[in-house]
Order: sequence, then C-alpha cells, then structure tokens
Amino acid sequence: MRKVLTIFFLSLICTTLAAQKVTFMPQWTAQAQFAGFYVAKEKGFYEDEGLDVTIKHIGNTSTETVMDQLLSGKVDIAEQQLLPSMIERSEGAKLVNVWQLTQVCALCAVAKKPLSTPEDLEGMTIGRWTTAYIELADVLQIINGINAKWVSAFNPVTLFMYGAIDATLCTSYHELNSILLKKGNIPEENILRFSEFGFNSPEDGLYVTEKYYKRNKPAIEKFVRASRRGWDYARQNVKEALEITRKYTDEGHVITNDVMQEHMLKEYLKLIVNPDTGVADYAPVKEDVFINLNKLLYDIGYITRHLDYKEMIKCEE
Amino acid sequence: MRGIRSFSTRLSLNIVYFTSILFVITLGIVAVSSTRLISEEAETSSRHLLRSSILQIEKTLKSVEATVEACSWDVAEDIYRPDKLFSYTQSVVKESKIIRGFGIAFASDYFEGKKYFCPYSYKDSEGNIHTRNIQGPEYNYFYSDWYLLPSLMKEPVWTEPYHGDAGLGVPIITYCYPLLDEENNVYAVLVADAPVQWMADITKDIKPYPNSEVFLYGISGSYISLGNDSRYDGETLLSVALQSQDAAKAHAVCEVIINNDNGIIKFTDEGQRTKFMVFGSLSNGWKAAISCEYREVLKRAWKMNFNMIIIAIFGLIILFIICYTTIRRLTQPLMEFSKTAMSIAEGNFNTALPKINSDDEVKDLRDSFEHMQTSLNSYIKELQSTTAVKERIQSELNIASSIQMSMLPKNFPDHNLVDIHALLKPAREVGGDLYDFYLDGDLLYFIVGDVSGKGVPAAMFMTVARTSFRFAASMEVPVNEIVSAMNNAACEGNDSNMFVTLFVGKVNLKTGDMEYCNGGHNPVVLVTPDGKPAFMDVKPNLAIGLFPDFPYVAQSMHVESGSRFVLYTDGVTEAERADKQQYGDGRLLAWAEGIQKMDSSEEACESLFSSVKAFVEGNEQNDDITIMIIKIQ
Repeated sequence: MRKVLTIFFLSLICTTLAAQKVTFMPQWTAQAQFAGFYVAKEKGFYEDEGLDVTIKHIGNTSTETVMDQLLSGKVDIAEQQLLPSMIERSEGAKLVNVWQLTQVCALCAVAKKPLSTPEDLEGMTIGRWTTAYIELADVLQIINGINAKWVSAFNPVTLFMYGAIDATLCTSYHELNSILLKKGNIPEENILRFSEFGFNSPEDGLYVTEKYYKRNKPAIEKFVRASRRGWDYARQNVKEALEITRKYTDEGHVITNDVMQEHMLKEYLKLIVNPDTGVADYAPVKEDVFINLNKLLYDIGYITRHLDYKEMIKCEE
Repeated sequence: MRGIRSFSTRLSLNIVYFTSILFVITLGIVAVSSTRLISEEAETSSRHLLRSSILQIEKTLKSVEATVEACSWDVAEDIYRPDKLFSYTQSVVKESKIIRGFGIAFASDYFEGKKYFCPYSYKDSEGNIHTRNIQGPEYNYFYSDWYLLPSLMKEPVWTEPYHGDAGLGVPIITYCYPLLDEENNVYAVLVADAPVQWMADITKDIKPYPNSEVFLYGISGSYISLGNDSRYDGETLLSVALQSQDAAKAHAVCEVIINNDNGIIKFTDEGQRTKFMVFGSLSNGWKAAISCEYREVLKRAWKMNFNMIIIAIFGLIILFIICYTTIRRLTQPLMEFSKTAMSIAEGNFNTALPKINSDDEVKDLRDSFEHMQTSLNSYIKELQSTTAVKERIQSELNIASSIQMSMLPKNFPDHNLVDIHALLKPAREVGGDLYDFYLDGDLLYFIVGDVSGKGVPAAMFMTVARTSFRFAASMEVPVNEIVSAMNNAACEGNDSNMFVTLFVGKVNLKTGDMEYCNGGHNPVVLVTPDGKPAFMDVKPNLAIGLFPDFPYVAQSMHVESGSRFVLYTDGVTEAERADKQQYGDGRLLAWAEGIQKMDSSEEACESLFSSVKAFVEGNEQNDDITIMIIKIQ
C-alpha cells in the first residue's frame, strides 16, 4: 500500500512539474504578423511560464480555417479577427476572446484606377482571401451598397498583379507593401483605407473555446502574459524579432523577403497601439465597439442573434 | 659638376616632360576610345547573348505550351470519359522531358457529384510516376493562382515559381491552359508543372564574363530562382534594391526594368562595382537580364593600356638618354667656347678657339667668336692708342691749366687801404673766366671777365683778354679806353666770334674816387659800410670781341671807406641744383648782407664759394666760377 501511495504521489508531482502543452495557431502562414508569438517561443517566455507551446501554421492552400482547427480541438489557442469570431459565435461556436492584440482596422483596397470612396468599387472584380476578411468584405459591400464581383483566392495580390482582377483587398502591413515591392509604384489615390471610412474595428486577438477557457484559465493567462512579453520584446528588438521570424518563414517555405517582413512588422506594430491611449496597452475590445459591431451584423442579417459582451470578451485588463 | 642644372639635362628633361604630356593625352584619348568601344561591344554582345538565351527559354516554354495545347484536344474529345483522363496526365508526364507534373482541374461540379475533380500525375525524383485526384478541402485548387488566373483571364498563363503541394517538392512554374465551353465559360484548366531547374540548366552556361549573372523576373518583378542559387528566393527587384546602401538610386534602376520591355541600365552595386545590365522580355511577360561588371569587360583594355604605359615609360627613358647624349655632344663645343671666353676675359686674346667640323649654328658661333676675338684685339690696340693720346692731351691740358692759373695773380697785396682777394674755379681743366688787378701807386685797376664758351678756346681767349688788360692798364688811361683797347685787341682775328663780358674798375685808394666800365657783365654788388648790399648802377655796354671800336662808356662814383665790392661771373648766379633751380641774384644779395661781419676778403671769397657749393648740393659744376672781393679801407 505504501508503495502504491508513493508511486501515486510521485506521478502527481511529475504531472504538476511537467510543462503544460499548448498548441497555438496564428491565422495564416508564417510571417512577421506573428513575430511576437515567435519571439515568446524562441526566447523561452512560454517556458518561463511553464508552458510547452507548439506553434502550428495553417497550409497556404487549405480552405480549412483556423476556427475549424480550434473548434475541432486540433489547436488550443488560435489567433483570429474579431468580426469572423463574432459571426462564428452567433452561429453557435463557443468562442471566447482572451486577449486583444491589434486595435485598428488594417484593411485596404487597391485598384487599377483611383478609389476615393468605397462606392468606387462598384462593378469591379475584387480579389479577397479565402479565410480572412471574408465577412468584413461582405459587410462593407452591404453597408456601402456595392455590387462587386468577389474572387476568393489564396493570393489575390497575384491575380491583381497579372491584371486578372480590377482590385484586391489587402492589409496595410502586408499585401499593400507586397504590391509596392513588385509593381514599383502605386498612386496613393488608387488605395482605399477602410479605417478612414468609419470602419475601424479591432482585428487580431486570441481565441479559445469556452470549454478550454474553463479548464485552462491559468494556462491561458500564462500564454497571454508570455505572448505580451514576446510582443513587447519584438517592439523593442525589431531586428532580432525579424531574424526569429525568418526561421519560421524558411521552415514554412514561405516565399517572401526581408524587406517585406521588416515593413510588415513595423506596420503591424503601429496597429497594436491603442488610438485612445497612444500606447501598446493591449486593451480589450471596448464594450460599445462590440455592441455597435453586433448591431451592425444583426441589422444587415449577417447574424441572427445578439451576442453578450461579457460572455465573449474575457480579456484581463 | 652642374648635374641637373646642366643645359643638356634640363633640355632633355623638358623634352621628356613635354613628350610625357603628349603621351598622357594620347594615352588618355586611346584609353577612353578603347574603353568606350570595348564597352559598347560588350553591351552589344551581351544583348545578343540575352536574346539567344531568351529564345532558348522560350523554345522550352513553347514546347510545354505545344504539349498542353495538343493535349487539350484529346481532353475535349474524351471529356465524357473522366476516368480516361488519368491516362492522359500519365502519358504527358511520361513523354515530356520538361513537364514533371500534369493535371486537368475541372470546375466545381462539372461532373455531377464531384465538387473537386483534378486528375494529376507527377514524376518523382527517381522517375516514378504517381497519379491521383487532387481534391478535398485540404487542397482547394479553386483558389489557387494556377486555376484562377486562366479562369479569370480566359487565356493561357505561366505562373511564377512556387512550391506546389501536389507532390513535386521542388520550386515549379506552371503553364495553365483554360478549356472554354461554347458559352466561353472555363470548365477546366490544364496545368503543366515544370521545375525551374531546367531554366537554370539553360542559363548556367550564359557567362560572357566570369562574374556575369543571369536573372529572370516574373510578371510581378519577383526573382525567379535559378538552380541552387537561393540568394534571391522570395525577393523582388525592388526588395533587393531597398536593401542596398543607395536605395533611391537602386529603386530608380529597378523601375527602368519594370517599366520597359528591353534595354540596358548602368549602375554601381553594393560592392561599388560598376555594372551594366541588359534586359529583355519573354513572350509570357517575364523578363530576363544579364549583368556584367565593367571591370571584367575592360580587363583587356586595361591590360593593353598598362602595356602601353610600360612601353611609354621605357620609351621616355630611352628618349631621355638619347636626348641627353645628343645634346651633350652638340653642346660640348659651347663648353669649350665658355672656357675660351673665360681665357679671353682674363686677357688672353689670342687663345685658340675649339675646332668645329660641322657646318651648322655652332660653326657660325665659332666664326662669330673668331670675329669677336679679332675685333677685340684691334679694339684693344685702338683703345691703348687712344688712351695714350688722351693721356697726352690730359697732360697738356693740365699744363695749360697750370699756365692759365699761373697767369692769374695768386699773391694779394697786404695794403693798408685795400683788402682784395679773388678765386677762380674752372669747370674743366682750363676755363674761360679771368680776374686780375694791378696796383699803380694809390690806383687799383681790377677786372673780372667771362669768355664765351669753355675749355681750351675760352682759355686762350681769356689769355688774350688778360694780356690786353695788363697792357692797357699800364697806359694809365680811363677805364673805358682800357676796355675799348681790349675790345679792339679781341676783335682782331676773332674768326671764331668769341667774346668776353667783363667789368673793369679803377679806384683811387686815397680819395675813394672810382671809375668803372661794364662790358656786358653781371652788375657788381656794392656793400656799403653799414652792410647794405645792392647791385651797382652799371651801363650795359657790350661784351668785348664783338664790334671793333665800340664806344664804351665809363661811369664813376665815390667809394666810402669800408665799402666792399663783390665781383663775380655768371658761374655764381647760374649755379644749378639738380632741380634746375639757380643760385640767383636774390641769394647773392642775401649772402652779401653778412659780408661786413667777415674779417677779410679771402674769407668772404671762400664764404661765397661755400654758399654756392652748399646750394648746388653736390650737383656737377657746369660753368667756371670767379669771385673777386675788394674792401676799400
């Protein structure tokens, strides 16, 4: 009996001391958009919190979304945008936001001809991604009364560069710069930044299932704490963060270059800054913003039930 | 040893110096011309090489395009037997050397119940062919570039290199060929995958110069990786440019490539190497470029220029040696002439001149030297003779001067009624001035005169005048008769029209009565006992020697005891300083104001002469100076 008890306590101690395994999935293939998480991993910030984090990327030709991976339990924590997460939750997915990273909207549109308002996209063939900003594109189309032909693609920018489409959605931190690096120069009047037209919702945040949240709240807090440390470090050590990112892009066979990644990280770090406070404080999504978004989605029929702020937003101040 | 200062060295160095300048200019022109020519030639040949490379690449691309197009007919015919399509994809991969993967991606639900249907075959690295149906959400080809591009554009398209997920595992490019139905809708896309390696195989031998590089750029300006060179993986023209030190300049270079179908650009890369890049477009919209370093291109030209410099340096050294020895040989006689000249200068007028065998300027110089030597000899002889004559004349003049001076009274009487003294300072050896006096009891006869002209003729005429004065004075006649006698004597035989101005006086030392006659001479200064000087009132008359029998008029006056007469010639009043200012009557009268304070006439004479000398400030005396001072006691 003594032997059994000894074995039981030893195994209990080992289980307690062993690092908790966490699988994390960013919303796209490896790039500097996720540099803070790579830094936290490579600099041992997750280990410091007693976490054994595995960063897993989604395939660049897969239509399976990060949310699919999260909801199916293939990953524990996923990085996702607020809007699609709200839609998923309205459709029954038990998702909660545990940390908000970016504070503003990075979505742009680039066209072959000048774009002064979203209405100028009327009638155009517009490229968009298969997994990101889909809902936002629809929302924008609906609220602006635009009748455009959307083309979903893994690389809408390539379609635009070949001249196969009239315009493409892009982010200010990635594709816009990618186009500039390829085409040389694009007139500023051909770029439409949606944040300048009343649509400036927060985007990237960390999401877990309610089930995971209830069972692993301490681990989630540790993950958020280490991730925040990673992002703070990346903000202060851009060069090193880029070198770390490069390891992940190389491993993922991502066709990119240093200039693009550097630009991406620098632009992305701007999105982290809270426009209300002027600092990167990783503030939770504000309740009024959440309610307004909820109302908008409901009004245009994108969701069929209202969401509760406190049920979904579980960020710690 | 004069060393570098020698004529031959300096001239040789000058020749080498100017030849060097000419050479540098010539070499510069040759270097610039050859550099330009070779650069142009290299640019042209690189253009041709690029064109042929593009043709080679396009040939392969066309072969792929032709294969796919041919297959499109078969696919269209067997479209209703989808299972047979797998054999088509297998046979294409099997038969083509370039196509490593081939697939037929059908539109969604083209076949009922088949959302995804894409027969695909690929050849692995060991040559085994694998065939499968690419489908499912894990590979949703409807969103792939290779499917969307031809579907949207409705024309065949070459994709840019990418890592496909279909099994090849190497970077590939894909030729995408849309199949259109009767309503012009795309119902399938044929895709032929080719590893980019074959392009590397074509371009690896394109090396016009050892460090030349070949680049391929996709439609979007992305580098197409060639072979194992991974430097530019994921890079675009502009991303590389923005990493360079001078990003703005590099950016401008890239824009030239992006915005033009073909051309040439010149730039300096990161390693400060000057390069040129020729670029041209492929039919699929890609661009190919070859970059070459000018350093390599111009290596041949620089080697040639270097050889020319070496040859030129040797040539200049040889030129210097030839010039130096030739000039030294040619100027050797000059050195001998120099020695000869030194010897002649030392008085050896008969020194032998060096022998010159040539018939050139040196020979002319020798002849001139010889002529100079002869002339110098005769000149010296003539000079010696002239000097002897001159010395003799000088000797005679000295004698004449001595005789003339001896004719003038040197001993002045020590008389209780009169204190008389005189001096004569001729401007030359002999002068034309005269003075004399004669005491006959209580009567004192005196004369001061000035013969026109100077030198020996004036001296001789003065002698005549003095002799005639002595003779006439001894006759005890009035002074005007003395002057008339002198005039007649002077006029006689005066072919040279000389004349004498004079002042003759006779004073009775006891009574103080005085007669005097002025013959065109300067008025005498009379200083009264109270010391007031004034010019005496004299009638001008005429100088003697001009007109015989001229009626000279005498004047008379009474002389107070203690009065002083100052007689002088124009050598006193016309004594000039360097600034042409003359001593003049004013200074004479001013000087005379102090005469009464002087103890003797001798002192007064010396004083006046000193005053004149001080006035001229060392200027050369240009006329005889005669002063006579008489004090009536």
